Amino acid sequence: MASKTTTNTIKIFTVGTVVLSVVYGLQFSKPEANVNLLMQNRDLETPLKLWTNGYLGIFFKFLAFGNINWLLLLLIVPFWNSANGKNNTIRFFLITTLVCAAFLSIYGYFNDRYLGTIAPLILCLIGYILIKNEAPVKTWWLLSGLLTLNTLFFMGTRFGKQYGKYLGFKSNISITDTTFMKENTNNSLVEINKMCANQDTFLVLNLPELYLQTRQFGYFYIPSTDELYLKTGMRKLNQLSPIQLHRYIKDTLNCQYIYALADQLSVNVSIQTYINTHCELLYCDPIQRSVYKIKP
Amino acid sequence: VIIEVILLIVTMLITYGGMGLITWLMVKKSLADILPNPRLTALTCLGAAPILNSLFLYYLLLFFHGYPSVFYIISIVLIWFCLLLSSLSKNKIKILPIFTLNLWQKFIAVGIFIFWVTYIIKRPFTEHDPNEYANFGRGLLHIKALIYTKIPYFPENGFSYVALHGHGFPLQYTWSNLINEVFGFENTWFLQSINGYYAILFLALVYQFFYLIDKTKAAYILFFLLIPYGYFLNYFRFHMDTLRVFLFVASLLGALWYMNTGLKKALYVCVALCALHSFVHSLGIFLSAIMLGVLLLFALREKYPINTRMIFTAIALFIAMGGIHYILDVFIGTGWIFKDFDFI
Repeated sequence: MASKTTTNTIKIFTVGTVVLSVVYGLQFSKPEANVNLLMQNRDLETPLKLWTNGYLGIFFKFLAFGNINWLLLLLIVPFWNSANGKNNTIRFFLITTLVCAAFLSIYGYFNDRYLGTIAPLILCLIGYILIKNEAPVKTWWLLSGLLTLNTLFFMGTRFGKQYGKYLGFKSNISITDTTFMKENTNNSLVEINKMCANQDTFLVLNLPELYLQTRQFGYFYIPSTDELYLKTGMRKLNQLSPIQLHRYIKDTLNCQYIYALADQLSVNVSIQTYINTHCELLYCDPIQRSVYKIKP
Repeated sequence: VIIEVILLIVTMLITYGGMGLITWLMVKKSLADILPNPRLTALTCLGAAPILNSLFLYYLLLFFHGYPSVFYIISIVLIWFCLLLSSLSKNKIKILPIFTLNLWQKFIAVGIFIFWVTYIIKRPFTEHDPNEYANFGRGLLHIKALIYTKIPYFPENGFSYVALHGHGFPLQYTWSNLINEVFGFENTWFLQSINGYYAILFLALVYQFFYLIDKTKAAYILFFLLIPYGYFLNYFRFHMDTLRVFLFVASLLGALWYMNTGLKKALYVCVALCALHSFVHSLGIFLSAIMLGVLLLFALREKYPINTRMIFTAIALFIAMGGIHYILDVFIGTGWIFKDFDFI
């Protein structure tokens, strides 16, 4: 039989989760609610977002089933006590999962994929505790329902245009706009293969797919950190004046084109200004992968 | 295209099926007297095999530079053949039935496989990180050598590899295209198949673990892992996340096995899986360090027999099965997380 503590915990949790889900949903109703690393690097990120959707994202983000993961914290103490020193295997599982979760939360919060490493394990741990506590079937149905609700909230926050109205969110993002759906195109690379000769040289702004799917030569440049990778080493471009930059890209590197993600150019004002003044947009696909021709 | 698709399916069958089977036979022989649940072990072996194959290719490219593709393919085949012979020498072959499927399940499995292959071929491969790994794998394929340098730069097309992870994933590209190259092809399809393969293995592994505890509840757990939309999306990407998570969960199961039994061999299995996890991603190093650290504390508390020789063997095993990449990268390569850029 399920212990009284577990049953009460789950009752409290159910009410709490529904309330918290709505609050989170209202608070973080757009993908932009994620911690913005560029803003954080400039100390501009709000502490609320940094802590909730950042360091403690494992307990807040819908993507990491944050609202469900609270259940683990509620169940730990009664479960730890019930183990009563008899079952160290379970305690090992519990401690390892929690320490790994803490590590990933603190050091890997900036990457949703890293949080995704531990999230399923926490769900498994919750399931394991429920099995060991002989939780009744209705508890399992309840948890399944909460996870479904979580999924609806996640979709609501992400794809507010279609689903938000049912959940009270305001977002103009549609399901077809998301990375998953939009990435389903390599139009820009097809265009490059049509437009450019094999001998052309690109300045590639951190889009490695160019190398794999075209035959062009490209200098690899990471705009956010201002690192240009060359055979002889690395160099920074932001220290060059606009004229020096143009001469360097056009004459020294002999680049004819720039391949960039247009909506991320703002991370490097120097390059953004260069593109605006010295380049002509040739093609831009639905996910803003753009081909620019450098003017003479 | 038809020949390319056939080559993809053959590569899948060899790597996932053939090598998985040999790994299973090998493990079955060496752990004959203490073998834990056969299904859990078999699933772990199926997952470990492709990364073991990457590891063999890693050593070949590290020590033998610039040979034709056929040399590396034959070497890999020979290594697996030797492993097969050693695993069969004293054993009677009794492989099946570990997993049995009825007619409908077979139809569903074939349907999933056809969907999977079609999905891989039809969906463009455009995500940033996997493209970076694929480019590195392609660089290795073209120069047929793995050389540690401060900046991994490929003069052929100007690409620079900036990731800091082990080479377990990029080498999947190199491996599949060594085979493709013989027939004049090159594509990313096999690399794209990795995530789906490990998604199925991960779900099967977790389901099987809970199935042993409670058959009904195992179905709920499976539902828990399928319904969250954010995670569900991961199964359909061409990334390496399911591979990482699978190896993490497998190494955790290895640790649980050691916690339950205190067997020396169980500890080595756990360490080997941690090493393979590290070989595919830097996170593996940190998560493995945490896990093995906690494991050591519990083992001491339980008064399991642990001596210096065991610890040194475990460390050597960890280095040989993947940790070596990070040692080489720190001292003669990019510097890994300790890298210090010298700008020109």
